[in-house]
Amino acid sequence: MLRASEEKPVTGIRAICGYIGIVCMLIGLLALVPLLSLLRYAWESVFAPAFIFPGIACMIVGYTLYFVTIRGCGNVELRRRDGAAVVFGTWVCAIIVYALPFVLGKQLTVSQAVFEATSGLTTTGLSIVDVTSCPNIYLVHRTLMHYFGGIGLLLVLTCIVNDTQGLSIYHAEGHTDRLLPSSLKTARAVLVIYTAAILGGIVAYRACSMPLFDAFATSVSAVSTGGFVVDADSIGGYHSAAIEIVSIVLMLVGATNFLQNFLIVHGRFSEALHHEESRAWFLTIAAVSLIGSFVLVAAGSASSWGDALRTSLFQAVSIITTTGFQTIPSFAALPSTLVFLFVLLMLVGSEAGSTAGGMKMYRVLVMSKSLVWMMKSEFGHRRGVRTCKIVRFGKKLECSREERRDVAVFCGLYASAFIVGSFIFTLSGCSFGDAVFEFASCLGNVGVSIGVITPDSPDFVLWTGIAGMFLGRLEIVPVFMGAKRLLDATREWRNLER
Amino acid sequence: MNGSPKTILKRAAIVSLLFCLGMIVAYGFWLVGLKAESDFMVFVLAVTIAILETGSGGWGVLLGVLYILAYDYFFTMPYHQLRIFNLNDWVACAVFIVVAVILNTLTARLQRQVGIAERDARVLGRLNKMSTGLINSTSAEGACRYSANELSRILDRPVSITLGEPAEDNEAARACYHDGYATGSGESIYALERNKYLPLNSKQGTLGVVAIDCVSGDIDHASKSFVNSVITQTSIAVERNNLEKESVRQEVEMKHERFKTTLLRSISHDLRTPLTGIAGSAEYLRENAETTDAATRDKLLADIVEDSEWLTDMVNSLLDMTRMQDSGAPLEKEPEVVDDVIADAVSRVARRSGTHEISVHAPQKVTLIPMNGQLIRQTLINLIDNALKHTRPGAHIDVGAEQQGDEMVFFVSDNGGGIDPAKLDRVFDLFYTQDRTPAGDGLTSGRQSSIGLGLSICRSIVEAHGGWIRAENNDQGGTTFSFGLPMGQKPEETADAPARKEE
Repeated sequence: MLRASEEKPVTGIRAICGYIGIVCMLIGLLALVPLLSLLRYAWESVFAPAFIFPGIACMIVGYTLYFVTIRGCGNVELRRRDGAAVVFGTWVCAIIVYALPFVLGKQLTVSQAVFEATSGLTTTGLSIVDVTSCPNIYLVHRTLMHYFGGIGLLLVLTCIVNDTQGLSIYHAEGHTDRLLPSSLKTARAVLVIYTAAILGGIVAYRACSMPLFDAFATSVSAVSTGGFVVDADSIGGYHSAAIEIVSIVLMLVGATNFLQNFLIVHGRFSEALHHEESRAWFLTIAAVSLIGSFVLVAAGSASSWGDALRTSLFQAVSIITTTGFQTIPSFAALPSTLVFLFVLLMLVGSEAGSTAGGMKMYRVLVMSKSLVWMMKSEFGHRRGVRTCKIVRFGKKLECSREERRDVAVFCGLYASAFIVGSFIFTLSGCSFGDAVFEFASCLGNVGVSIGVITPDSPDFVLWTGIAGMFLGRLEIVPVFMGAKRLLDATREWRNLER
Repeated sequence: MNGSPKTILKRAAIVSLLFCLGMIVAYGFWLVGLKAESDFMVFVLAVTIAILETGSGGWGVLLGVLYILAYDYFFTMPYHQLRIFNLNDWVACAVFIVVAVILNTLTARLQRQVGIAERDARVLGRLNKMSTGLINSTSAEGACRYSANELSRILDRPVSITLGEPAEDNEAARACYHDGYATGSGESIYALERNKYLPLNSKQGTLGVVAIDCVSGDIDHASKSFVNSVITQTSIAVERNNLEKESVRQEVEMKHERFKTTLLRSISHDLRTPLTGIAGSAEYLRENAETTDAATRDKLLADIVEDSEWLTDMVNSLLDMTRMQDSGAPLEKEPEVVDDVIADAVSRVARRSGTHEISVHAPQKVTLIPMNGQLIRQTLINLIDNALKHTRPGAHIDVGAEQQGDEMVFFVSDNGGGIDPAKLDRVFDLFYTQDRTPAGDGLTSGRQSSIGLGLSICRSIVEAHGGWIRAENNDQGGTTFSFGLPMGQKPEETADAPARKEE
């Protein structure tokens, strides 16, 4: 008789655990998907338990958590920081559950498994696995981790659970653009775009005569800007300009803001293209490609201008979109100018609101514009009134003080993390440039390796890498906010119990 | 298994998902080499979850059966056949079925109980809220309206509550009202009616009828007890409101009685004195008609006249008073010229003024205001009389009126001594006099003393006009009585004023 929303709302640790429980059920279910590959590669069934047990266990634990906390409560509310706590909790659970198959199947050690799982879910792409000897079921597993991590586990949740909370969690993960009025429609639209691009990619790759399995894995990897490949030599192993071009297109799609993709698909070109971020982005790509080709030719590494441009363009796109595909044998052999440029690209990253990593071009744009504005106000006409504007999606939007401050703070945090991580890498004995390159790759979720992280790396290197990837994907702040909120919530629950 | 297609689809999806998961687990266990017991434990878990999530025992049992069949087919020897060789497996299957059935029943029952408990808690909360609302009701109709609204909202159908006898054409409602039990849809009589009628019963009988629209079906069992609680509470509230009204009425009656008693007590004394005087004088004149000289005879006759005039005045005052007290009839007002009213009043009193001087201050312009001329004249007369009686001889009395804002303020001022400031605001009280307490125990009573009604009559008259009256000491050493009357519409001012003539 009473409507459910008239009841007292459930909040705090109960609500958080409840949502984590729901997502865990989903995580567990998705962990079982690689089992489908057994239909094709039936001889790999010996590995099936390694997937079944973690998956089912996760689902059971998730259901129990959900049952004990919020099942049957009509009114569950996630307060301010709870979204971050849910995100933090689910990411940790997902990493653990997706690492277990590697451990149980005796493919990797614990640290290595966690590394691989983190790399997959954060769409970094640094891999410890030897793809030539890896069972197919694991290759599928890695690819699927890219797919789910790319759009966020919670996006999938939002699609299934009709809940207004879904969007707050989605935003807490770092996605901030709203496509459509309803959060549910937004989530579904994003999923559709994403999956459609992947399917298109598979078709395109097949047209370039890539084997089906490779096409599937590479297409997912490209659109999610992950970087896991099934060929030991990455994209370079196919020796096909057509494949490279298709890859470039897919990578660009993945690294473009979802809203932009949505607008383009619906024919609203003027809005989509009047976007300062895109302009800066493409300019950067063009500039680096050109400079890169010069450098390559000058250093004699490339046989012709065309070759140099091709290599340079591909790698520039691959790195700035934080995908991590390689068409060159090794980054260690590159001239240091190029390495330097690539590190910069890794730090900058691609558009905000996409699957890509890095600091995001939007923030870099705001920072550089802030500098200009500051200079102008310091040295310009005293009484001039200036508002700082950025053009997004065809509209001139004001960049408020708070926003600039937030961006500056984030850049500061990012830089600090970068410094600390690179330092730790140097402790492993590699050179300064190598350490910087490798950690930038981790933090920016890029996935190109200069050789610091190998299957033989010591554990502390792996865990630093894991930390870098995790912080980079969740954009640093939600990690600490979420962890703290979780701790606080547990403490308050224990106080309540007393 | 009933429910909309959507529910059935949803339940089927849940069961299918659980079935697939269960099979995957069985497969995994088989690969690792775990025995049937582990599988059945997982199946039991899955069946429990199925019952919880579908809310129905039937689907749970269906899942269990599917599990048994599939497991038998795929994982027990002989494989891919529905026969079981191993005794171990037979026993496990059998126990599983029993456990599944028991769990199924338990879970279903538990779900129901939880649902009932939750609903009861909510109902209690609702009833509590309603009681609070009914306590705050200010009338019987208000309480009924409140309850009807709440019931409508909760039952999600139109509900109305009427007090007293229902309309002529509604037989079912009348039957309910007169006989005091439920009629209408779903009841034993008038079962074909659209509405259900429930009586509002109390100790005094049926107070009214609750009509519930049952066109979309009878109210469910759980709601019935709630409805009964609400009806009981409403009856109590209505009864309470009625009793309150009754008690207020009785209090008013009592006040009237008290007034009449006081009145009678007061006047009996005052009537006797002048009557005694008249009787004495008349008796003497009759017995001594020849022996009395003309002067004495005239004096005695004058006394009789005076006393009878005094009696007449008093009786008139009393009548005015009772008329004021009882009047429900609206005051008759007509536009009257202020000047004329004042002049009239003064001339009536002039005879009795004695050594007092009375002067008139009329307003500058000739103004008309709506008033009951006779009553206002009476007021002025009372006020002047009062001044005459209570001031020292030779005092000066001013009578007049002036316009202040949208009121016409009349005043009667004297310089004859003033009134004790402490008693200023009590002068208008009933039976208040300066030389006697209201209860009337004074042994002195001369012709100069009053009954104490005059000023209170003034107040009643003025207040009936929608005006105000007050007394204050002025700076000439006397008292000013003033009263204001609303001018109503803009007073008509005639440019050419007719010449006033002294009467």
